[in-house]
Amino acid sequence: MLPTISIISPLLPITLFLVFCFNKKPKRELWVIFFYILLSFALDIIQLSTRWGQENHFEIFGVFAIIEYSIYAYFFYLAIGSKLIKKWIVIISVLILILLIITFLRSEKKNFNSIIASVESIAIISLSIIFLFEQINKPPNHFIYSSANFWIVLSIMVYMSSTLFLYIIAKDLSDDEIKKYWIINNISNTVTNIIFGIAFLVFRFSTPNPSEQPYSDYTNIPQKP
Amino acid sequence: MVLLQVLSPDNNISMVLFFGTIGMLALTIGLIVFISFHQRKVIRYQQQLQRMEQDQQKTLLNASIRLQEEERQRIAADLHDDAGPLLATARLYLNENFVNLDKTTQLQSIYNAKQIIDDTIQLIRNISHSLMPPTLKNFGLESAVNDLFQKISGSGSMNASCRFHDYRERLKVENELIIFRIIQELVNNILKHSNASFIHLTQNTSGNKFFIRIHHDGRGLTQTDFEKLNKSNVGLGLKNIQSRLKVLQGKIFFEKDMSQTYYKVTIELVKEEDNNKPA
Repeated sequence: MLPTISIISPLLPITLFLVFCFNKKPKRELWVIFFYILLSFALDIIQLSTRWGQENHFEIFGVFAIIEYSIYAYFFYLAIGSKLIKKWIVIISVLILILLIITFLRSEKKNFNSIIASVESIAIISLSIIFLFEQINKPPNHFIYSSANFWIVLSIMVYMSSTLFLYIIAKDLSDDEIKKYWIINNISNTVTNIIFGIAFLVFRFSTPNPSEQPYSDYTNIPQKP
Repeated sequence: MVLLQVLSPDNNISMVLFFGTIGMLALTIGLIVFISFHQRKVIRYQQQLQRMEQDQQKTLLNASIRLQEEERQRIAADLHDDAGPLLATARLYLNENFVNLDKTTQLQSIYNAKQIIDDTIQLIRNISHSLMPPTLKNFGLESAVNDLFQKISGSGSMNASCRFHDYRERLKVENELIIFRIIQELVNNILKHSNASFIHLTQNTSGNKFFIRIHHDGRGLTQTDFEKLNKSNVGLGLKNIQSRLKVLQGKIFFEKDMSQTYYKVTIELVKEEDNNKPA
């Protein structure tokens, strides 16, 4: 039951984005997360429904971890304001990606690759902490939880922190044990998608409608009869 | 099932996994909660500061408007009570010439009317000078302050002197007027309330800062008194000083001298690069 819920949970944020955010010109960060959710959902479906997916489960997971890190790093690059931090994100992300790719190519691909998953988790958690630290230091003109980016970062942190230890020790677990403890990943994935949905709703309801700002649109000026 | 595995003493991996996951989640949630509460506190504090600043600005604006109205009433009273009757009397004398054809009497009436008109001209000149002293515009702040202090000394009420140590280049005319009004207000307060026997003003420059210091030996204010009066409904003149200083981005400090015998008021202004160009 729980694995099924975890697999179909991305449908919630996807639906909320398409219904509430699509027409509101969402920021690039939201598009990045939307794309990530679609990709994650598509890969889960491929892994379950195709033979190729079931046979190359660990390989797909390794590749997805690299893509996931790239997407999240790009999200933080867009979300963080400081130019200096952006520069460092680019430099460190390139190095981490090189490390992940080399680790993936040299690994056996028959077992769960703990190194890729845990390095990725630690790197993403660090970026999340940097984002939150920047938010504290910026002079606040609105509450932090009224921003969609905050909820996205919260969701990412919840997922990464709750699955970190699972990924670290997954290499030493047998297939049965992995199946037993994968419940942590399923729950985290479901919670993550729910919080992504909240992020999209926050974006929709915190940004005022154009009709509520009649002077922002010059076409509203009445014409002479 | 996971909990049973954890409670089993043989399964170290399960314990590590369980406590590790719970620990990481607790840290994450703790961090988020701390950041949210911290930011709420900062925003609330900022809103409070904004409200206080708005209240202060409202008070200063009200004081400024009240002072303006009082000034207008005073000018209106001066014109109505002094200039008006004088001109009416002059008109009466001149009207008499239409009735009285005796030349001597006519000449006397014209002479009386001329005296009264001279007095009226002097009165209007005094009103005009009190509005905008011509010495300030034509000769600068140093001359205008010298004039003011000479008039005070000349009246015999107290010994007033001033010394400008470093005023080679004039400030902008608008800024000189504001500083002159501040000095005028402070001197008026000292004359009205302090019972001082002497008042001495000095001007100095230090780097890009412009200082004016006023010493007197009467009853004075300390900085605490000044801030208290500023916040209350009284002290209109002090609020006016505060508004004028805000325009110049200046500061004022009231204190008792180190020797405890004099009161000192220090005005500190930042000298701008283009301050020296007269308007």
